[in-house]
Amino acid sequence: MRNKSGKSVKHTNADIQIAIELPASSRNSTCLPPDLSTTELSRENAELRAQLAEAQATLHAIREGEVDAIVVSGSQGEQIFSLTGVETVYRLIVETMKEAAFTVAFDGTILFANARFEEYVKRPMEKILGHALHELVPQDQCPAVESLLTAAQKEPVKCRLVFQGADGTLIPAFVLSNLLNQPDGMSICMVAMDLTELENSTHLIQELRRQKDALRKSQERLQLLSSCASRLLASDNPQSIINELCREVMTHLDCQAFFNFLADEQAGKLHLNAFGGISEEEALNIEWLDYGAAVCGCAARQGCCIIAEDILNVPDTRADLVRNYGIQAYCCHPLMAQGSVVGTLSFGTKTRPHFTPEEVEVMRTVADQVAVAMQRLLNVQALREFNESLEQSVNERTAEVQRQTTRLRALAAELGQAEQRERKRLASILHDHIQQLLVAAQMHLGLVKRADSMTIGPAIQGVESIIREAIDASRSLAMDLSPPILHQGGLVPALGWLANRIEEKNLFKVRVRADNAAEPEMEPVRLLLFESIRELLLNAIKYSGAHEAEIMMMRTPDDWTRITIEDKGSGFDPEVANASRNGLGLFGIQQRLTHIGGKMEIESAPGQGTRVSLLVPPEKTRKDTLEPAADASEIDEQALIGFSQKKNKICILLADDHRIVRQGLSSLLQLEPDLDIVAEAEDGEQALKLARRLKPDVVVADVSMPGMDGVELTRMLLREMPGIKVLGLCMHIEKDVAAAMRDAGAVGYLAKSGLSEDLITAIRACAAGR
Amino acid sequence: MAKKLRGDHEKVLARAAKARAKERYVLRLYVAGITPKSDRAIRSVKEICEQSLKDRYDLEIVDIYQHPGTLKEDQIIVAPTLIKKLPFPLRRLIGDMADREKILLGLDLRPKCG
Repeated sequence: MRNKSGKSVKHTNADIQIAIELPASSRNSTCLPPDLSTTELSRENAELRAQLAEAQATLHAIREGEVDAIVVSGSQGEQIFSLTGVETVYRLIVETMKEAAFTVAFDGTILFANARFEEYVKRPMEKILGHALHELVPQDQCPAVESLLTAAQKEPVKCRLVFQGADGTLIPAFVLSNLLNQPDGMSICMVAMDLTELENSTHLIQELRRQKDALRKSQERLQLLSSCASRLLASDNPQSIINELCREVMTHLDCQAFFNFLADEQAGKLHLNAFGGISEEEALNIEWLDYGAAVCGCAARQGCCIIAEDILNVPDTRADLVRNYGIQAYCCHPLMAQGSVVGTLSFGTKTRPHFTPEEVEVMRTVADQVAVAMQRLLNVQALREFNESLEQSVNERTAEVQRQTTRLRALAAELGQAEQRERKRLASILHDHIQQLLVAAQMHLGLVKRADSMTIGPAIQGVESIIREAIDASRSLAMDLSPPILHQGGLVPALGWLANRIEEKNLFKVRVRADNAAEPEMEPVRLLLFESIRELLLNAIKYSGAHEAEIMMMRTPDDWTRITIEDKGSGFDPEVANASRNGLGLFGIQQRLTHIGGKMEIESAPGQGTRVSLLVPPEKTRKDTLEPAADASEIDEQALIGFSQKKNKICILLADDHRIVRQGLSSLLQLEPDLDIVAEAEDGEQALKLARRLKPDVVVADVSMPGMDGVELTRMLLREMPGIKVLGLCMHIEKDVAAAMRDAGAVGYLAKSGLSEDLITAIRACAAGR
Repeated sequence: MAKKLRGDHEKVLARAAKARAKERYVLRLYVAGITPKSDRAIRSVKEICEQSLKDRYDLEIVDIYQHPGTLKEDQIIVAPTLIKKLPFPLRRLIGDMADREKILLGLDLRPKCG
């Protein structure tokens, strides 16, 4: 059978139908036109042979398996059938490619999947093929799968899908879908690319970006803080630039309000110094803040940072104030200077309910810097004041020194002049009196030479008497200049002699009451005292207007020699005298006394007489002496006070068996600022124990205590603590008890009935070591 | 007559032979996608062309899966198939073209022996 194009079709029962096409010129062929020539025949023959050879070759090739595919023309048109072995390469590609490939039916059932897909979803193939795609994605991706399936039926789709492995891990993938037109039905072919790495690197990039941001922020922070610090350091008044600084900090931290309170000591409250983010009127309302009120008050009182977060939702009474301003998070730092709170600095934000630790750190650093700047100011101030007082002290000292120098110079000058005057006086006495006498004697001798025996006797007598007078005059002068009694007899007799002399010459009565025991041992001291006394008496004669004076000389309990010259004359103002030329005499005496360690005291006022005291220290080291307390023991108060000011306080242990007496003594002594009662004891044993433990400076002990008495106590104390000073107390003074105490080593012995001042001064003297 | 024919024939042959030496070959190779045989066929044919037909051939390679429409035109039954379109006559060679001599023969690049 032939159809139009000359194709011959053979139908068999087999599925494969092979149509062998023969060229148009060949025929199935019994019909050979009879009129063809031989050439034509042979040509046709050759052609036919070639075609046959080709057909045979084709069949041979097919049989030998040298072909991959066969083209078949069937009722459905051209079809290509692949023979075995051909699809290996395709299969290899699909299986080994880096992407997951799978085909799904329209309802999502998986019809085919390659090995990579297995890896993606971490399931074995049995759990994949025939299962729905929805099972392989997390719950939240199911709608995405649905939409993908729907869209893929119409056109190729690209989308991102996240697969979930059996172990729960998520794999993000980029899925490309295509319609597959297969003979037995349509399906969707999908290829999925693993996006994990890409997304990771994206993630990495984001992370890097975030870090870069953080770094930038941190740099900004650093710049802000260092700018703050430098401005605060440069400024002399940090308070004034707080406003500016805080505004900058606010901008950096994205805060909308700040408050700076300073502690006002006088008012005892916090005063609003600077603020931002609220109106002026509102600021007036919170101008004064109590300690403990609101966040700032609490921070100031406790001296620590307080952070209030999520203010709008968390009820916190402290944050009520700032809640009204709409602030969500608020942080307050105290400003600390020299260990105490001088104010607070706080920031508030309306944009977020929490502060990050870095933000709190920035605020803390700013607060610290402000506090440091304020402290620096305080220190500078204190330094300036100290400097000023120091300068003042120095100036005073210098002035004093200059004054002294001037006076000394004047004194030296005066001394020179006095010497001149004295020489002149001596010269004039010699000239006026003695020389005249000698000249007269010479003249008389001339007369004697010419006298006869009658007149010679009386002439010689005349010369004798003149010479006698001359001798008297010269002796008197010598005695005036340096009385021998001073050198031979001592100061006391010399004073007596002086008194007589003055009474004769100046008609001025001088009463002398001198204790022999007070005689100074050293010659120069005696001399100095004698001359000083003489000068003072002469002053009294010249200026006081009185007709008599009294000299008293005695030894003080601590072995000083005290001489007092007193008159009831007109007196003078010592200050004025100091300044005048005549005052140089007094000044000179004072200086010479000071030189040997003594001192001069002047008590005088106009109209009230004059009393001058000269004090000379003992030459030898101090011996323990006991003086009856009845005599007013005039201890040099000034020296004592000077000494006890060096020590902080004198520590005293009281021992007395009578409680009332103890209490009385204690309260008496406590009044004194430089005395400190460290302990009280009832008897000797207790006193000893306490003294061992506390090591007081002075122990005041009653001699007549039960058990261990005062004498025994003194002995024990001094044996264990040789430097301790013991003062004995008694109801009445008894000489032998006093002696016993002295032997035991006590430094003093007082009557309880004596004056309280005596006790106090005795204690001080004890402690000072006299 | 026969002599004249023979002489004519000889001239024709000689002319044809000369012409043949300058003739351009147009070849088309049909392959079935990427299979080992197709691979081999392509390589083989290319080699042969380069060696024996240098600069006077046009080779077209067609994948029957991608261009099924052309199959009818050239009456392709199996793949790989090499078609010599020009010069005439049309020749068809089947298989992986591994046998070089066979191909050369098929392409009339070798004289028929005997």
